[in-house]
Amino acid sequence: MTTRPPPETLDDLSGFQLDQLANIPDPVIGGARLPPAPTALGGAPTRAQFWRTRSWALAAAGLWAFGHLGVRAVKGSFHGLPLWYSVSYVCVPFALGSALAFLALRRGPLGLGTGASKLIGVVLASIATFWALAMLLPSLNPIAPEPAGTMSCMGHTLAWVAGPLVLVAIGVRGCFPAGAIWRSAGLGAAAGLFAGALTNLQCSAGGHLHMMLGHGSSAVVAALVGGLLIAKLSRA
Amino acid sequence: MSSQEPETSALDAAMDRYAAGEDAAFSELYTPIAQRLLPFLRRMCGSLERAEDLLQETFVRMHRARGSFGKGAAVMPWAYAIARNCYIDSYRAKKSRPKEVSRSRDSDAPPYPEPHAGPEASGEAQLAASQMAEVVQQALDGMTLARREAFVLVRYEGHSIREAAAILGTTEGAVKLRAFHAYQEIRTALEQAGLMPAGGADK
Repeated sequence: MTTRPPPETLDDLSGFQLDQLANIPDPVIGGARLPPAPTALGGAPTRAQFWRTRSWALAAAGLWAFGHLGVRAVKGSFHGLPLWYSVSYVCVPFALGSALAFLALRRGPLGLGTGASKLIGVVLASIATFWALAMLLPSLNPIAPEPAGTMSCMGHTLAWVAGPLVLVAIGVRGCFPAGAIWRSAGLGAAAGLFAGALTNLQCSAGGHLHMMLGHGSSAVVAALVGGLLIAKLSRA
Repeated sequence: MSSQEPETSALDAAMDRYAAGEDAAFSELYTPIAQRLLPFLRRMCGSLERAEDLLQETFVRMHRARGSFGKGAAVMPWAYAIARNCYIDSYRAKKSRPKEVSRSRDSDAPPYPEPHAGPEASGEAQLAASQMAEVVQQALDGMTLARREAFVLVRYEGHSIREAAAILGTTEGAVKLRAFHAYQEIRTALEQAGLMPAGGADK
């Protein structure tokens, strides 16, 4: 057993004096014989089998979102909507959700995914953008819906997001050795943003609060479900 | 670390083959990976016995997750991350159980089989080194898990802050802060034990 020297980069960490870490002796000195390798490991999916499962599950989740968008487009849901509304309330959340899903799934330079700070920043910024647009942009309909209407939209959006979340959970099972919480939260938030965008397309009722809570809360709830529940499954 | 590159790339290539389904590649992976993970786990849990159990568990999990190992990825950060997950699960399970009488250490051997100084060192030096090692391990045992893992990865395992942050799934700033606080705790413990002059580690 050997202690590896602290990396040279420690000298650059001003403010924390981490260059002094080398002064601390190693409590584990001397070798220990390695235990025998585990035997009878049993069957485990190979890369090809793993990617097959992951591909169909994530493709189905993507199809769920983009398929619904396509159906809405064909059915003419965009007709009559001003361009700024379609761009801000549908295209932007879809773009943010796609970027989030990409960042959460990407392998990253060390094979352990996107850096946590970047991922945390993008998850929070995406949700904040959705809410900021709902707050700042003018309403199409000046009459805000009743609270029951907001609850109905919220329920509808959350029901929609359940499907992709289940598919994501299947697709990423046991494949994040590090950063499982934020990567899963990112995937959850992406699904929530897709759901919110589709609800924006379906319901153009006015009211900032309605847009934020009725349509936008799904991103927060799905991110929490991702970070708290899917992360348990996705952790290797 | 450049001298380790051929060894590392051979290991990565072996893991690639193992992930693709070549079970025989496991024999090429076990020894080099275990040689690095066993001391890591031992520093984390303070017991060789537990570290050996966790090492076995780590390899079982690596086997189960081999399909998710990306083509051309580096195996060591991946293996460290899985070993850390095993340790965390064991740590949480232990916390949820009734408290044991004392922290389990190697039952049939002293915790530090070889003294800090070399074999030619005097008995006094060996004793001092052994005491120092014990104080460091006790300080490691007493600190929060987050600080301990950051410190162990950076100080003893030779990972850069960036690598440690990737393995721990946190930000580089958090790793720096945790490692620094851990360092302060250990330094204080060494000072209190009279094994390091007060403020001696500071420039």
